[in-house]
Amino acid sequence: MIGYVFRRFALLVPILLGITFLTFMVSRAIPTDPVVAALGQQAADHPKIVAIYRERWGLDKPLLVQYAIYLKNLLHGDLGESIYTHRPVAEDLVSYMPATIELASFTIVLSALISVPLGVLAAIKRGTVIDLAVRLLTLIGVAMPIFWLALAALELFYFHLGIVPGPGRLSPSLSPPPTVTGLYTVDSVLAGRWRTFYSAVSHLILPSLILATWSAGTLTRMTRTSMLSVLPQGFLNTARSKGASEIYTILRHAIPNAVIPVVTIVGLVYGDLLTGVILIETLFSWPGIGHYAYAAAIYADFPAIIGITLVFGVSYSLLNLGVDVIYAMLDPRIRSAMSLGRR
Amino acid sequence: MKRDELLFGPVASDLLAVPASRRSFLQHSAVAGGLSGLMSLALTEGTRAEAAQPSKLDTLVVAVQEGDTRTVDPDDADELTVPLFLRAIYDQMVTFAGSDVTRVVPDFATSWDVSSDGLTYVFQLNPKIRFSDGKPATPEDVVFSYLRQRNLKGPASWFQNGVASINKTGPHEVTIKLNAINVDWLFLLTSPFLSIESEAMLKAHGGTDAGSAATADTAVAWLDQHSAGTGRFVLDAWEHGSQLTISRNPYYWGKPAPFNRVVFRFVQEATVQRDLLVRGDVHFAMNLSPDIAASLKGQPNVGVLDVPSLATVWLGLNVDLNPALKHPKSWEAIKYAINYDGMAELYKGGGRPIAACLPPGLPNALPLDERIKRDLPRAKAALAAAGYPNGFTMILTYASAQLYYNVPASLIAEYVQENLKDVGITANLRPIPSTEELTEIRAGKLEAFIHEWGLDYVGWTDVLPLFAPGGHVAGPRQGWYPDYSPTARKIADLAKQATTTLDPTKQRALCYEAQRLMNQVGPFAWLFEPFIQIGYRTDVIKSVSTNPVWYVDVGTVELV
Repeated sequence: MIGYVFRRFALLVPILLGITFLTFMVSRAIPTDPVVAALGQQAADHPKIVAIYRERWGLDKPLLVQYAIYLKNLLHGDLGESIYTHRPVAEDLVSYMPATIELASFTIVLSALISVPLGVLAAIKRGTVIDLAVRLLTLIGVAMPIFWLALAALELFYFHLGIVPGPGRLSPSLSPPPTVTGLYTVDSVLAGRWRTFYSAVSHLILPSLILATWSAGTLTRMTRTSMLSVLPQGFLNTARSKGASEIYTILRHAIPNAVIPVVTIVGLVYGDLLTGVILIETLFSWPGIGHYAYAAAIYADFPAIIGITLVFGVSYSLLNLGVDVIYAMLDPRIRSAMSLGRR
Repeated sequence: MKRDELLFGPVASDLLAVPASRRSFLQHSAVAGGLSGLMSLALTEGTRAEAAQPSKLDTLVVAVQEGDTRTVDPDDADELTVPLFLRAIYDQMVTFAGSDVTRVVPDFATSWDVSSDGLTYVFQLNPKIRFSDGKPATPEDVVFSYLRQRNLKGPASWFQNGVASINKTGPHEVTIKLNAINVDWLFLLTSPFLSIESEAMLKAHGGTDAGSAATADTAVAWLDQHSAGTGRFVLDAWEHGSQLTISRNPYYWGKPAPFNRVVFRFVQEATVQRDLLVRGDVHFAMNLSPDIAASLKGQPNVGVLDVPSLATVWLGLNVDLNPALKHPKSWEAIKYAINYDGMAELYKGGGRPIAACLPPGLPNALPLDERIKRDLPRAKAALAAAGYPNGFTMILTYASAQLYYNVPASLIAEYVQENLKDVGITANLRPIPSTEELTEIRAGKLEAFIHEWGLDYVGWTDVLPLFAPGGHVAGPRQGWYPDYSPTARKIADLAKQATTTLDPTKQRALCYEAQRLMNQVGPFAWLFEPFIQIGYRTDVIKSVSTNPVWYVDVGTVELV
């Protein structure tokens, strides 16, 4: 098992190298001059300012030289400096990432709470109106464009009904809690600021519910499919024949077996949430990594674009690895296969 | 059958009614309780208006797009949104009288003298002004601020290009000498990018005005989270992508703002800004689209401020790239084919027509009644004279997602395309990303484009000389140089002469003549001047100064 984890970590190196190379070349292939994106009209018309700017950001060097310098700095843990914010990219990522992690985590918990019971229920009630309703709901959840849904939800629940707060992470009357983790919910508890905690949680509800329509749709369908493959299996009849009640049989025997593939999907969905919240973050004024990625793309901020891509790549790879490890922990057959592979 | 079974069926009923164990029952209860708790929590937070009532207003809340804000260091910033923040935090040598941008009034300086040759400016500084750390402001701070900006060699360093020297010449006196006459120099000094910072505070945090500042100065990062100014407010914190917060400067020398704090909340979408405003969760919504602004007019407790942007949206023609566009008669055909007054239907009160490159709010702007109006027979006659009686084809490029102060570029481009079709000119639209469009325009690669010229400072010299033959816009971007024709040469000479003429009457006459000739023979069609449309709460805000550079001066807000 440990060997397997090490092998997976080793594989990360060529993957990340490939990511940096592709991102570097693609971002410079687009016909956009970062000088134009970053400098004002008057400044861009002054050759001296432009020349200093190019030199400052290394844009005056050949492409491969720029890439070699980038890799050398990367080996020293330096992701470069953002052209847009003028701060180290690593520092930017650290400041933007917690907002996204908080939103994605809240969403995944909500999704799991909604989708596992719904999926189980739909499978148990296969072919009934309940099953049909769940399938229809999940289909709508998966198919609905997030951007439209978010606008409609804001209009209805915030503007007309007033049952959720407006965009942002906190009420404007409150200051953020002292940073420990960057997660407002956690930091406000650590600081004992309950009003801030209350505001942070309430601001999470609408964006995470909207994101959850998609993720819960996917997870519910997966749970239902998985349950359907487990329900006809003989070991459930064995349990029933031993006198176990139906509820006990499902909770103790069916769900634990059905949940294994769902765990894989939860990991992947979490990865998708981390990397795919750009629209929601933009609409909800959520200062997360999606927001940063959007600004980096608009301003042709090459160092930031590569830094973000690297973070996404690492997050996805680590989540995949984590899922595989959990998978092995849940299923002894997979653990055994991993051990065999090591030999 | 139990009632639960009737409702949910036997197995679901088991799930609901018969907990497998005490622990799972508690877990289920906790989850259900947690969810209902969250919803009730959202309900109470959501229904509570976040903006306070005017009589006890502690925090003014402004919804604004963070936009291009890259830094809030005045010496290193050079973007469109950041003056809104800088004006609240810093003072400049001179400023405008409220919303009137045609004359400058004292700010950091109480008075000034200009030498007869227009090259030397002597400023008397206000001895009562203090920085936010309580220390008095001195001439040394002015010298430091200007030199730091020049030596940082950042995007804003061009502001110092015309300065030959800057020195302290008395206990409260600063003398600035220019390299050449700049008739708009005092107007330029109103820019929030020419703010006065505390030398001591900046030096304590890595700032320097030395020649090596471009590499040695490390104060930019500090200034993004703190401030060193004399304005009504001090910077508390800037959370990128979320909000920027300022609070009252205890040492402010003038009339303090009637609230303690201002939160600039970054909200990207105009519809969301509108919702926040209508619900009373913000007091200003800075980025309304014309549609939204029109829909808000007549709403209770909400008003809309139409602030002329002093920007020019124009159709530019490159005189070198398309054979049909080399002939001035083709330009004339395009100019007279466009229905400028009809275009007003598109921007719905979010703009106004312009007569030439200078929008009406700037000094020396050509009167509106001299503007070109649609004349299809004249356009067709011009086409025939150009040798294209049946029209021609051109590629019209614009920035696909661009908003001209909230008027979509795509809307304008499609409208122009329709207008040109009426005289047989086929404009094939080419929408591209804005940075790509800007790159290609600056490289002179676009045969026809629609673009916006926004002011870097409030002054006609930031517009007319640039559009005159050989200027920054007309030359490299449109290929129109003085040697194109005798009239082009004459326009270039008139513009140059105007920029060195101190007598306002003579200056205006020169500017008028240059603009009239440009209208006759220039490769431009002047489309409109967009407005900055700002929503505000009429039940909270009584008045506020507006301005095309810093939009609203939040420190001047008067409450109801």
